[in-house]
Amino acid sequence: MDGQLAIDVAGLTKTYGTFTAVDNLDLKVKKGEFMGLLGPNGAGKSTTLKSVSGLIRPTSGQILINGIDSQKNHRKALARVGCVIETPEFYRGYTPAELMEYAGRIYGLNKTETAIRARDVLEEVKMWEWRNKPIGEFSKGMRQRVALAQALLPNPEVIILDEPTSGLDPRGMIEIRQTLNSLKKRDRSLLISTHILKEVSEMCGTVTMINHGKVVTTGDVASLIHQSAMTDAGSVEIELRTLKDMTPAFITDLGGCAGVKNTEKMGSREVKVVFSGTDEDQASLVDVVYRYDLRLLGMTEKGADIEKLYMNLTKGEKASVQ
Amino acid sequence: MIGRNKQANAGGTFNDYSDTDYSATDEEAHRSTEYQLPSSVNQMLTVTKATLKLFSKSYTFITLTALVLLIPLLVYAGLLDFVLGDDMSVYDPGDYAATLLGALPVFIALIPAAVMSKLIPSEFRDRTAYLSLALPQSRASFFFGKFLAGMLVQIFVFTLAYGVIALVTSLEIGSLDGGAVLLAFAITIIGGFAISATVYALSTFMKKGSALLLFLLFYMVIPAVMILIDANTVFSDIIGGFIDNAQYLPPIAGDVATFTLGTPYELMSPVYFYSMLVENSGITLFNYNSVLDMGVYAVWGAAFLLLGLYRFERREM
Ligand SMILES: Nc1ncnc2c1ncn2[C@@H]1O[C@H](COP(=O)(O)OP(=O)(O)OP(=O)(O)O)[C@@H](O)[C@H]1O
Ligand SMILES: [Mg+2]
Repeated sequence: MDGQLAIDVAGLTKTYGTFTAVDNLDLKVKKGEFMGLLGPNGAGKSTTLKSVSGLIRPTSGQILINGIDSQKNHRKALARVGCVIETPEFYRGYTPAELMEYAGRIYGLNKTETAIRARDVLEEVKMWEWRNKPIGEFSKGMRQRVALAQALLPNPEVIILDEPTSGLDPRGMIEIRQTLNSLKKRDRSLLISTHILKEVSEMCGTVTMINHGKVVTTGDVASLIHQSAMTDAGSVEIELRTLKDMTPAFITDLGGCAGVKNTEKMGSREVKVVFSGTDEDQASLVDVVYRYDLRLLGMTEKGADIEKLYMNLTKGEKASVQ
Repeated sequence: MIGRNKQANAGGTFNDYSDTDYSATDEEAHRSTEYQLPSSVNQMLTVTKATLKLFSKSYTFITLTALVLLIPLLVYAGLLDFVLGDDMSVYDPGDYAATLLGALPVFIALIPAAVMSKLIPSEFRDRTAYLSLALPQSRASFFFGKFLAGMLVQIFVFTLAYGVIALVTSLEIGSLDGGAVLLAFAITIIGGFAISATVYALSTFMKKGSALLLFLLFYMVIPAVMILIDANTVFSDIIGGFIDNAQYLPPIAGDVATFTLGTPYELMSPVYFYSMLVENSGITLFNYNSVLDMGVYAVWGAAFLLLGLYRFERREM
């Protein structure tokens, strides 16, 4: 089973009339992997996730979930999948408890199993108290929580979420992130589209950026962030802060280190280093600080965050960053 | 993190699970659940049950039940005395029951339109399909599950209606021929099935699923077209007695069912209204073949169901 793909999308294309919403898109989520799907409004994220979950028919392309073709056998392919696509609604008169019962029966959970799981997931999303109230009276955030609970009900191996925390309060967002993160221990796979970059940086190991229905970049979140921190010349800016004042001799020595292209003193205890060396070279910068006994307070790679990555990749676009 | 203890569980109720005093530990709740996907038929019945629950909370169901219960109310309020005269004893029980069923040609179009027209469109309009169709069930079982629920509601309403009519007739006139009642009931249900399937299929093409539009199609448009064809001598000469063939069309099932019981004093049949307007169109439904009619209705219904399924499987949100 190891190394097998949880989700394998190949050559997915979806056209609406003459408009191509998703254009020959490839997407692979390994088992146990959490992948974030990023992109500006209208990039084709929801269209991709709707195709994967069988809500729309792709114009062309193949979608395998746990190795099963979801277009040929939707039922079997989604047997171990939980989905939340674009804030789904449920019959207004239904209560969360009735919804869980319905979903549980479709998935094939028996009564006891459904009762245990329903309580578990409704407690996780903080909706247990509301289990017998009609969903039609809930706020958007509450309905979103119930939808999440429903997706997690069958203890799914693969989870597909389209902006799952939209409409949630800050505490709710953090709690949902914790809940999803705890699933990592159980080797679950997640494909999540979101505009909240923190959700990607805190949960996802890999990220796929799409725009105009095409993949812009895909890969490991950490290394993509590292790459994005690099300036055009392929170097990064490192800021060093120390407890004691920096001497000119120290600055000179620092400038002489391998990989250092330039140094700029920002204050008596702070220096900016333009650097393009190996990790080893970077570690030796710290050695210099120790040699002068300046007591290192901090060393930060400037601009090394997911927002910079996102902005770089969507340059010239009207990006929507929350 | 997930606080779980016996006391909390004992106090809380979880619908019909409240009798489950089972309380999972964290490990249990987080173990890999092994479960088997139920059969498609099983899943279909789950959808049927969920839809029936929805009906039980809706006005459609209550209104239809109330309408049926209006029949004895009107009878005992003296409405029939006014129409038929005071001396009921001259009436044959079959004719009396047929008169009570006089509104059937309306209701056989109205009830399917009211029950079926919104089942599918509302799933898309209210976005509830985003949840249901992303579950591991085939669109076919979802489609048939909802249809079955709609049929069960109608069977309930029509059973109630025939029961009420049989009861009132036996109290007022005398006992009915059981075989004729059963046959009329079967024609009603199978004719209703054909109209339901047509409404359901057409609604898969619609955004809102207008019950009024679909009702008028069956109650007015189709019979009108039939009469016009019959009134046009050119057509009558070619196909000869087209109206005699009208019995095979589901909108006429209500008329056929009524005549199976007896001759009604008054029939709210669109075919009669129109034939009064158009010269040269005397309509008789006395020479009908109820078994053949039911066969045609069943095939008609099945064909439209398949059309609806074809469309539903391709419908996107
Ligand atoms: N049913 C439809 N008919 C026509 N065009 C559509 C349809 N659904 C989506 N589109 C178009 O496809 C493109 C991609 O839409 P999609 O919903 O996938 O974007 P998204 O990445 O999810 O955006 P957002 O961040 O706003 O959720 C958009 O330009 C949209 O207008
Ligand atoms: Mg979207």
